[in-house]
Amino acid sequence: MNKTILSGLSAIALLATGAVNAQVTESVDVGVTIQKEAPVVTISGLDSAMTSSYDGDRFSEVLRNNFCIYSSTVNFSFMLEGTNDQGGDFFLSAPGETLLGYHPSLSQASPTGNIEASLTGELTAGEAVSIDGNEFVQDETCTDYENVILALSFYAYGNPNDLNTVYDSIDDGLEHVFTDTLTMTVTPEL
Amino acid sequence: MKFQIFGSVAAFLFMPVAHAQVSESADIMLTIQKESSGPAISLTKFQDMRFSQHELIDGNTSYTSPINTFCVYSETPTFTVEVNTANNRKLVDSTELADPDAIKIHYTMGLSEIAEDGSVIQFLDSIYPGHAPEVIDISKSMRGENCDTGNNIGLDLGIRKVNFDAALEKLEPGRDYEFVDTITLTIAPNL
Repeated sequence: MNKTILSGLSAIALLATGAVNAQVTESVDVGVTIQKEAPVVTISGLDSAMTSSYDGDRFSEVLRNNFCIYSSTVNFSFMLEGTNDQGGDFFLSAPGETLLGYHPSLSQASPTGNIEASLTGELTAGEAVSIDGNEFVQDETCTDYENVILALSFYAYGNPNDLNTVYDSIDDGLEHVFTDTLTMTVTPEL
Repeated sequence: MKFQIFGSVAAFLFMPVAHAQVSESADIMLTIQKESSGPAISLTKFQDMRFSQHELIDGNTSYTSPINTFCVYSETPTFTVEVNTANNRKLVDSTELADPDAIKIHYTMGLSEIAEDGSVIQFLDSIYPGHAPEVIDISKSMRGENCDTGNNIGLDLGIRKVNFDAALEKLEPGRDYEFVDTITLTIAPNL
């Protein structure tokens, strides 16, 4: 925490006491301005798109996004929102198809880019989670390596919005593109 | 002289600190494409066929096998049949399959529509390995996926007498031969 004294004034009022009962009084204000440096958080290196395809068995690409979070405060909050959120759940949507549920989570990345430890578990849409960045926050651009991973997972079966339930419901041989836009918000905690 | 500090004010001004906050967005796109399951089609009860000299029927030009009936069910009115054989439509002694000089017996294949009592309703067509799929119409004889009331299509093999006699001349006396081939039928709905 930096403290900057922008101005500091002091004044002394002189009281001259003479033989005559004359008295003068002067006063000045003394002020000090202190500005505490604003906490800084940054997000960098986030890929603008996460793209994959699913064939009923495997994904062509793992839906992960390695990027950098920097916070000048030890603790910060992380919140994720999607355009198709319903009741705190995340969904991908495709025209005419059942919403496809998915489960994002934020994890600490290892220097090799793999998941090292979960930071949030499965996130609830619109609900901020407090994170202690003491062990993984580096500099503002993560010079050494991108320190966090946003990963998406899917449940196979269990409700109408699960991956294979939605997959099974498709029977027209056409390509269906399920999309969502995630917005993440990082806020320093003082 | 007396110095007196008279009336002093200390004001501390805290700059309002906006808690910095950042937001970033990423698009997610997942493509799912599943082949349409299409109309149902099945081929069942297709069994091994076996010639024996005793079963051969001596005609003017060919020997034929007993007809091998099986069941085809298709949701489409017509379907296609494609045939492939392991030995290019030739019977080869089972111990000499890898021998290019082995004795071979050419044969032909034909499909017939079969009545519930097992009799032939009509001869449909000859089929050949490597040819384009043959369109078959037995829509009037569809009997469900298992043909519970009787198989609806039959395959018979024919051996021209000249080919059989030519092979017969090459056989060694006193040795058993088992001439074999593997026939694979592939059916598909005709959309």
